[in-house]
Amino acid sequence: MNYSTHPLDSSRSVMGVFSRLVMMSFVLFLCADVAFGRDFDRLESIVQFGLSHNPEVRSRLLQNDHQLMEWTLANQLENPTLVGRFSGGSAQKIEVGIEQPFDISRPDPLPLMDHYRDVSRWSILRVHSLKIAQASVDFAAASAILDARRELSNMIHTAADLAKAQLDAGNISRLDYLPYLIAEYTARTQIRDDERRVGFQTSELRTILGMEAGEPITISSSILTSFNDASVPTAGVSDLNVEEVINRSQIEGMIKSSELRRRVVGTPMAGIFYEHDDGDRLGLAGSVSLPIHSGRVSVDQYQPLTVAISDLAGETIRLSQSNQRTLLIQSIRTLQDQLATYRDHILPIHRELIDETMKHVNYMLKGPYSIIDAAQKLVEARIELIGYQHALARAYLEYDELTGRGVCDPALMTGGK
Amino acid sequence: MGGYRWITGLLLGLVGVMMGGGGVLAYQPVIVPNGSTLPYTLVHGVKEFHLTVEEIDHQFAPGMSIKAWGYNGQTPGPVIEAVEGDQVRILVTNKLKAPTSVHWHGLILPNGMDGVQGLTQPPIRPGETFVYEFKLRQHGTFMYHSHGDEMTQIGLGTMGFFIIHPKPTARASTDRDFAIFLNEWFVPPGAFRPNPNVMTDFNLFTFNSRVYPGTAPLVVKKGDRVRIRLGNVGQEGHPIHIHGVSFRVVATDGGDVPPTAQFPETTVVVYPGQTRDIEFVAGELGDWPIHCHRRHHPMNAMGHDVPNLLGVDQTPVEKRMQSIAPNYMAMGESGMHDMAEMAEHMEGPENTVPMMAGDGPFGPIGMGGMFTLLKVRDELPSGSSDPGWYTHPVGTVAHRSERSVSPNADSLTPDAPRYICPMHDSVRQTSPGQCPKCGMNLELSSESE
Repeated sequence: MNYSTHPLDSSRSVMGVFSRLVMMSFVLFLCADVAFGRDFDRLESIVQFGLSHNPEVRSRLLQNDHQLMEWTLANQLENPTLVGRFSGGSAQKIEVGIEQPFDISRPDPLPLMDHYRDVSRWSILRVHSLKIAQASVDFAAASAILDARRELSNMIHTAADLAKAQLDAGNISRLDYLPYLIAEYTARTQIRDDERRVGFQTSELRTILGMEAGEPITISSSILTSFNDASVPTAGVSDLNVEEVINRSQIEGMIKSSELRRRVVGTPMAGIFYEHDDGDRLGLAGSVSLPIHSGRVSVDQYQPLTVAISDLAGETIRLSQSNQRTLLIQSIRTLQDQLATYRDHILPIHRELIDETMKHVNYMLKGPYSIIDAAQKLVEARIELIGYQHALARAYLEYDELTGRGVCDPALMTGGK
Repeated sequence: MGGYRWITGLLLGLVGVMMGGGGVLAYQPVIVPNGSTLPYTLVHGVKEFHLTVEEIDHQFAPGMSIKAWGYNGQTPGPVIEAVEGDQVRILVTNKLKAPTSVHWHGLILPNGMDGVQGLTQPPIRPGETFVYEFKLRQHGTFMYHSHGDEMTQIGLGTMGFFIIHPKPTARASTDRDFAIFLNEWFVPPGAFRPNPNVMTDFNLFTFNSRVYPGTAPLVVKKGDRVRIRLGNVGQEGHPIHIHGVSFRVVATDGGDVPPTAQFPETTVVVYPGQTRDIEFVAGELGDWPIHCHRRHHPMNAMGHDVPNLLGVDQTPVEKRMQSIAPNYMAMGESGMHDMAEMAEHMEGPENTVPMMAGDGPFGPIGMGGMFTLLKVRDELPSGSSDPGWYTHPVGTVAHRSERSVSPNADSLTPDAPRYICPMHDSVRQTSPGQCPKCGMNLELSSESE
């Protein structure tokens, strides 16, 4: 994972990404029915699988398209209107006509709608990518911890069996043996707890990946370790923060909307009329409405106000993003330091402790319980390490969420760079 | 091999005697296995010795060395040998980083020469040299040791023999005169500095600060009158047992034991602060163990918290243990002998001698600590202190028997001859004899014919 050469640097247009997203959505829909494997060893492949299989994502994307269609329909040329008028009394008159309004002075709203749809689609994919990635690392961490706890439980079981053999041989009393028995049963309940936790994580993950209950799923623990040596992100401005992108989109929308209001004349109308009073006549008619009060001044004031509000909102977002990013970078650095300490020092020392203990056992200076004890400490340290790896992965994903980088960037999954 | 250092000691003693006595041996010099004798110079009729107390590198046995404190580069310090009536002057230079003093244990001397730091003299500070001078008024086996911060200083090895030979007519002479200092240590396995704070749970027990198999043997000629001087300034009493001889305690540090008060023994207990001189005639050829009879003292470092696995079948857990530590091998089910057989094949902690060590002509000896051998031979070897293993005359070594020795009929092997009482069928044995119930001669059973 390399954060130094992110393909979407701030100089690139967000709109450039959107066009690829449209293509990607298409690809995802095409892929939706293709059978994917359930063994994952890369976070990117899990995210890709989840985006293409999660019905909620697909539903949201369809809703988005549906919304666009409604907008399109709403902005189509209005239907012609049948108009009729009857005047009674001494001079009866019947008028029948067909009117067709022509909104020729208004800017075309369709590009704006496309823009809204793309931003919305992008944010849907982005938010779900993050959810999938988070659920995946949670699952991977819980599974790895469960495996380690099973190892611990086996060691406790071995110690208990050895103690039972000592008890049977008359070497220890039941008083000496009972603590081993308690430890064995306690370890079993801890395993049950961990299995329940993993079951919960599995269920969450299946849902988010669009998999059926009971469908087997394995995720390699390498997705956790892949973050260990990732380069530490550096502080910088990102233009792909979801909140910020939506805000920018809203700014553009508001500006466009204000332009729509800048009408000098009302909607022009044209029609064909049939008139019957004292005779029958067929003719053309047209009208143009003139606003009695001009909205020009207020529109002129509205636009800068909109921009100012939007800018301030953007500034608020950027400020918050900046502080969160600094905090996350600090967290990532600290976690990487802790991981390095575990990997380069604590775990090797634990292994050396086992080797040294073994030498003492060879010379009958220590017994097998000392080996078990040393091995348990190693596994406990590995569990602590998994905890740090999990925290580091979550911190990276939070950073991704904040900056629109890394695995949660849907654009990356289409291979578009 | 360090075991030959007593030869050096012997030579140094001879040199000292030659220097001091004008070429005439005034006494039978002491042999110090793994140690040496302190030379002296005669200065205007005074025998002048020089001791330097310092930190030293000391080998317990091949494969294990420690940082000890000793005199003149060794622990125990070199034996001071003199003759009753001598005027001695002993210069003591302190190269430790701590103050010290030297107490002349058991000697009758002026109070100011007794060497008790703070009480009878100022401490000898680092870098200082003190002089002690007194006349030797007695004879016997005595000791010298630090008398300041004894837990640390004696615990780390600042001790030695002070042997005063009697005037020629005072005591029967011996052919071979050995000196062995007893002590205990606690050196954590894998470490190299003794822990002087340990008061009871020692893990190494030494003869002249050596553990078996690093202890030198005592080599004597058959028929020799042998004296062994034992001294102890440690924390525990040591019942020293010698195989193959019957000895008498002929002297303590309080003086000679009158012959009428001596009685035959095979074990003598030497308590802290005591010396015991024992004498015997080496009458039987062979390799005879000399060892402390406390069971764990003739062993090297043992674990204090090793679980008791005697009689425990570890088969079900051994493979699981190997999944934790691949080289794990179940031991202890039938005792500690696995250790003696396997020690050389298994890696132990750094700087640690296996608990049970040493190979003999018939297999692992499985000893350590306070253990050495009295080697009695027809002729003393020349050029070497160790004549090697004893060659047993044919037919004099215990061997595996093909016979069943049980008199119980139920346990007789099917093809063994059976002698049965004609009156009591339950009385059966493998050899002829009489029935214990009726006294009739047992008859060879037809079943076995």
